Amino acid sequence: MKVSLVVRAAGVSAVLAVGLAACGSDNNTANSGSGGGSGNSAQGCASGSLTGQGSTFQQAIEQQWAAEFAGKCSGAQVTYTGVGSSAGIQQFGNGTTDFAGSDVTMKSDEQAAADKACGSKAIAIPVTAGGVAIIYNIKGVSRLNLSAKTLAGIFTGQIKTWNDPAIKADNSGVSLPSEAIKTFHRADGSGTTAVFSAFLNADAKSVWTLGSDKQISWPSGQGATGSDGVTQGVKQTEGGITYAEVSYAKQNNLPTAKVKGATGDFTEISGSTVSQAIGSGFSVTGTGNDLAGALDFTKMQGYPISTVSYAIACSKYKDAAKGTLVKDYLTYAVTDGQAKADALGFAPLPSSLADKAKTSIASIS
Amino acid sequence: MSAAVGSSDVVPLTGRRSTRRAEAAFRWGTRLAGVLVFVILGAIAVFLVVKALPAFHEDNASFWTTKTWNPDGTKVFGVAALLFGTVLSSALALVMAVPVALGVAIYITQYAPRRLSALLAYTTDMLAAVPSVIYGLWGLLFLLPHLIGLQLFLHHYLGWIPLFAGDKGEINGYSKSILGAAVILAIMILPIVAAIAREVLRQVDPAQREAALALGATRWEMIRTAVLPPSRPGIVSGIMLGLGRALGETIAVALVIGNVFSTSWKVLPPGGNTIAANIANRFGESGALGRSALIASGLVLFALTLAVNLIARWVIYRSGTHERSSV
Repeated sequence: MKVSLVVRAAGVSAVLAVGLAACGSDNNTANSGSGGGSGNSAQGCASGSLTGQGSTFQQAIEQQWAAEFAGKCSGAQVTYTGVGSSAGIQQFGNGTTDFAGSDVTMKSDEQAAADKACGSKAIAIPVTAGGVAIIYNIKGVSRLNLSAKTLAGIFTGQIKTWNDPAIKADNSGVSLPSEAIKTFHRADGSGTTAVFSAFLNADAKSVWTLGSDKQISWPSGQGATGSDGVTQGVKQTEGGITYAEVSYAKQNNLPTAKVKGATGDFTEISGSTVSQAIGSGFSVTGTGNDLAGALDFTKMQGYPISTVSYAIACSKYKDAAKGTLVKDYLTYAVTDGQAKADALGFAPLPSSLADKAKTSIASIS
Repeated sequence: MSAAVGSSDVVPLTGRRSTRRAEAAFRWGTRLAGVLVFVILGAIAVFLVVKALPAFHEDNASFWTTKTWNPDGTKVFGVAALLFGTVLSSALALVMAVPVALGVAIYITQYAPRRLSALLAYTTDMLAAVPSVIYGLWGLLFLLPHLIGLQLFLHHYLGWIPLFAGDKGEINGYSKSILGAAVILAIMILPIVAAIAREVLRQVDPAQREAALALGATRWEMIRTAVLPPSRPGIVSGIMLGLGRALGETIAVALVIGNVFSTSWKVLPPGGNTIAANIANRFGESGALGRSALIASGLVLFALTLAVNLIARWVIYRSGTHERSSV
């Protein structure tokens, strides 16, 4: 855990550095630009400082948004710290952070604590989407198709070699080695594990018996800490396979598999295929302006291991100035901010959901 | 001083009243420190039991025989796989570390020239000063890739022993396994066992050694008959201290073990897990019951290490020469 603390600390300082750099530079440009510039859209531009904590999955895009929002609005500073979804929700319930980032919706006791801290109803708003990539390392194989059932067989240890009939059936015409499959999984609790296991639980129910949770009691394979840990494992292991955010595959020059869920065909992970999956598989279950929802992996068109990530905020802040700042920042995130998703390995929200999010955010005060 | 100690009426060397007060304060200070140890140990035990109780109550399966760990979801969890891995990896570490540690200690005290002996003693002590996270990272990035050859060797020649059995494809490759954890643990406990054994061997009365030599014993016979027997309790106690360290080692093991929930005897293929590593990995993202369950597993570890230490004490006491032991 010491390792991940170091990583987190580095993350925090990176956020601060980005925020400060943006602050410093925009003082020069803001004088000329902010007078006319802030009026170019419905985007408000409150000033003040805002802290967000939670999902490490969101961290990269939150950092980007924070930097750009500070560039747009002089005097606004947003600091986001990736401490994990559960910890972020807990901090929000304690009233020690202005908003939380979370890959999951709040449980009833967490909702109660958050409502109490807000003095109003706490609402969840989808702000970004992302897929879980299947990253592998097989000599001489750069294209790989895997169906949900095959994936479940691989990660439960039932499929042991790369030339297993089940894998061959998914990849007609590709020559696969007889090499042993070496699976890598997250040893620490993780939202990535939650999404991956929920997908297998829904789309490969007959094979997958390990349930779906942030932590799985893996019966085989090797565990490593963090997405960087499992990707490193695959990188140095021929025959290795793991699940992680797509950005880790790109950083390490490793290929990702095309995945087929309950519906649709083998699909490559990308911003548009993940958006498509969210458009077809996500439905809002919250009431009013609460956009907490549920994922139905069996209905996902496009890339089927996809999820949304939320911002959790108060519907009415005790400090009105804070409310306005949250509203302006999140509005930026779900409008102009969406354009940054693809480059960072995230996916933009489907437009219908982005519109709902915008309406919901507009009600924050 | 020796004269003053001998007389019944102790006279302070410096100013009377203040010295007497300081004398009392010092006595109470040390007594407090002594009592504090009990208080701390008791407080830890009470904390563990109180925090672990919800887990024992709400477990939907047998805590002792279940291999999975899902306290926050289905509430099915048990310590079987973790306890198995903890004991197996530590036992293997002892098997590897003890012969080397004893060899080092015997060489330093009986054979090595004085200069080399001091250098060797210093170097083994240095091993103990390396932080465990460094051992973990070194193991993860350097040792594991280089263990593949040993894995294949053990599997090829000793594969008939269940410990070294397994599928060759799985063994031929980077493997976060019980073996990897055991090797790292062996290196970590080596200096502890060696340092204690060395000090114990040094305590042996030179007259005994000379007597053995005078009777015509060879060096090896002298060590066997005159040096090792009186040192045994101290050495055993050193081994037990090493075992305690191995059982509780957290971060280094968490980095090199497979983090898998099974009770397989195969130490070569990827796999294995320990109580301490599981706590380190899972505490951050655990819910209320999850934390309680992890603390319950910590209580098991606490009891296990306590038992190991008590056994060590008992071994020393039983041999009746405990006053000789320097530990």
